[in-house]
Amino acid sequence: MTIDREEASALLKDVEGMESRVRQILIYAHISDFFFLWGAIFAAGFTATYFLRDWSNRMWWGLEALGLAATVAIAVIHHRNAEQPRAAIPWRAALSMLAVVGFGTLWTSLSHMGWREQVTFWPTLLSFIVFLVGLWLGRTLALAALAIFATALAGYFFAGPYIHLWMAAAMGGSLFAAGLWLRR
Amino acid sequence: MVDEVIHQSMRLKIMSSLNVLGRNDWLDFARLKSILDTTDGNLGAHLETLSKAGYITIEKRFEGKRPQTRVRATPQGRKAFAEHVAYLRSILDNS
Repeated sequence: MTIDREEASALLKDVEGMESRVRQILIYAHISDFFFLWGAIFAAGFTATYFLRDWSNRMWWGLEALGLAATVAIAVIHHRNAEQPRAAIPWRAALSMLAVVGFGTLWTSLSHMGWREQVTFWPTLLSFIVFLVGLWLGRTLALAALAIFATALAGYFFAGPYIHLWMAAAMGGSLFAAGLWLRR
Repeated sequence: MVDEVIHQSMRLKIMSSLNVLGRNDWLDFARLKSILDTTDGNLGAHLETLSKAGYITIEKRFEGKRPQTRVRATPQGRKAFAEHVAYLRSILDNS
């Protein structure tokens, strides 16, 4: 059997198309793990803050530390199972999360935000970053991030004194739903 | 050298998909069918051919109460795929 240049070129295009499609599916599946994790953390944190307001600062530090550790653990598992493992990925994941948490902590401290603004700031910051990532990785991720952003903002304007419970249900729920959507 | 098993268009697409997965990852039959936009019968026949050549492993199992068929490329399949792609590239490079 002989293959001419045109056929070889068409077959290689098929290969590249399939590889890029499956890669995107895998990336979405990996990102959905982080959505499930942070959905659970937001749901637990905001619910606990509503009922135990005096403990909220310590609780959030604990939850963020837990989230950071779990983020690194998930990144390590993904990395170990990758076809071509790149050692820097778990550390990049950890540094990225630290940078986001550091940036957010700096500006929530310096800007003397009110508590409602602080409650809304974190979910909108994270969904904004996911939106930017989605612009590069795929439309589905960007749309999911926009939906989460809008849900958080709606809570700020319309949830009144129940904003913590709104964020717990809406952020936990929307991150979980977005995770499922990315895996569909 | 043309690998007659992989060269067929659908089988090449199947191997391209499985080759991207991690070493311990499987791809669900239903997911693969949706990626390739084909029918159960067509996909099943091509998977059987690849399996007989030793290029993929097919596993049938139960996930909870639901039967699930999943596939993954063997090291031999990954090697054959890499060689076939290199061969296709060499045609472009040499012409």
